[in-house]
Amino acid sequence: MTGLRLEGEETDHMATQIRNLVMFITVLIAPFSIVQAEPEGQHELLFFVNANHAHNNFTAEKGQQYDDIVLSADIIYGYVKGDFRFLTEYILSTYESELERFQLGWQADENNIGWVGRFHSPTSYWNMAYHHGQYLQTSITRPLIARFEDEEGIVPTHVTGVMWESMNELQGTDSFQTTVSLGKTSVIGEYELMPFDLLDASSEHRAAVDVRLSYLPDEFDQNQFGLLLKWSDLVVDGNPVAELQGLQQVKQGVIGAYIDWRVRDWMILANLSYLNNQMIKHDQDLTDTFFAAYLQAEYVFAENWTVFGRVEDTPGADDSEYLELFPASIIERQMLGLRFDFYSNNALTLEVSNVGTQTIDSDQVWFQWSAVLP
Amino acid sequence: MERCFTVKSVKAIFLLFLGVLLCMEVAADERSVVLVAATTSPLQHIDSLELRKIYLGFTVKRDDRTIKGLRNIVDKNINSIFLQNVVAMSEKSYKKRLLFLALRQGTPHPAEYDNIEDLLAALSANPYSVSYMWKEEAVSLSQVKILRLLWHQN
Repeated sequence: MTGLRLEGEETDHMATQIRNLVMFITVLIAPFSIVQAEPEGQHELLFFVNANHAHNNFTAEKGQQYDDIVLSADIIYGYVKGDFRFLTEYILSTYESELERFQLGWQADENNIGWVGRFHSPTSYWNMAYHHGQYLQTSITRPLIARFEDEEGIVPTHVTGVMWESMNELQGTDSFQTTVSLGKTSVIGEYELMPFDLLDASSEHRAAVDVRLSYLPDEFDQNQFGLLLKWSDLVVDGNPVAELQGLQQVKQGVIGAYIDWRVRDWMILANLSYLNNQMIKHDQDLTDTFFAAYLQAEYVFAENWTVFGRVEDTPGADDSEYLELFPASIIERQMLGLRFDFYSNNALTLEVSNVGTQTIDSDQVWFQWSAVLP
Repeated sequence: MERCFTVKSVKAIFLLFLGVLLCMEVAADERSVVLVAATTSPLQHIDSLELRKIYLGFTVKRDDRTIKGLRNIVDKNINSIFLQNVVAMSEKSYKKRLLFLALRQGTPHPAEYDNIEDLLAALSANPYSVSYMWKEEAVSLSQVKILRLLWHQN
């Protein structure tokens, strides 16, 4: 979250945001009466809160610096009654106000859940693991391939449609998980990818299919690795760079692999993705490909301290016309950080990194307080 | 005569004290934690893997009904035994696990009860719910039945 988005469009969206928030609160309050009336129903309301300070120091030739302070609350509400599930997530911050997830689920049997609504793309493992719960992820920043649309993300991270989660137990506690989704994806908007908005629907959004196949050696543990397959049909909707390129539509295919592994006090989270963009233009079509990779390592010491680092790269990015649509996206990063957990649900994190976009390099320093309430 | 009486009294007090100590030892040796459900519950058997799943947010069903796990936090010892023997996690890891469940699938954390009356009422309200308590307590309560032994002090 660099705050760049705020400058151009905050005023235009203010009324919509307020309306969205009012509708969200109405939806949030409604199930409480059901919970009181039905002893079997259970609900959970959580607030993931954080305050970030970011300092960016651009290279000497640009000579620019800026500081950014963001206060944010991620509100999670979950309700379960029998086989029915409801989950919603709303972000309210000094930077945005957005309904992130709104899902209705049905537990078909012990190992299968079907969802309908707006959810995070299952092929973004990072986002499916941490969503917007900043306190639960160790680092402050996310890698390029997992960045949300409004954080200079380059692949759609929200889908509105249907999703099926299935778990097949193998031997003992081994399990194989399959997650498939089909729904409406983002359009290439004026500044960024614009996901389908349930509260402000438009018909321009086209289809996306996501498949994640995961193997867990112990279903009670988080250790896993897997394969990610994604296909999205992205229509250009008012992007000035795309218009200069004569671009009308991008048919984007992503194939990737990930690993999330813990051994004693160590943790590794890594992803390698290959992106194939069929750029459909007025005059001729073009195929644009590149890789996106990251590796994050974490080590817990003295119980409450975690030192971590991440390396990110995007081989093939220099020749990518697709990435020109997202000039502020960070395509390279070398980062080191330190996190201190205190009380039961609070953390202080410091992150120092050297980052690069397609045009500039800069140093960044982030400081964050994060917590979960109650 | 008086001295003899005093010696006898001391002996008697010593023997009584020894007896009390032995009784306490025997009682401590017999401390057990059991899995319970309401007397009216149709639940008969839940194995340790299923029980771990119930408390870690997986869905376990009987008669097409999801079994709910209720946490007994009446005393620290029983909570420690639950963490060590049922979910096999530290308090910190278990809390984090429950946060992840809420964040990922909207799964609420298991309901917690810090007094036995409320726990009994909750078990009776949902016959497809289970909890755990000291064996001697479970034996003395007519509202619950014992499904299995979870822990026994050696």
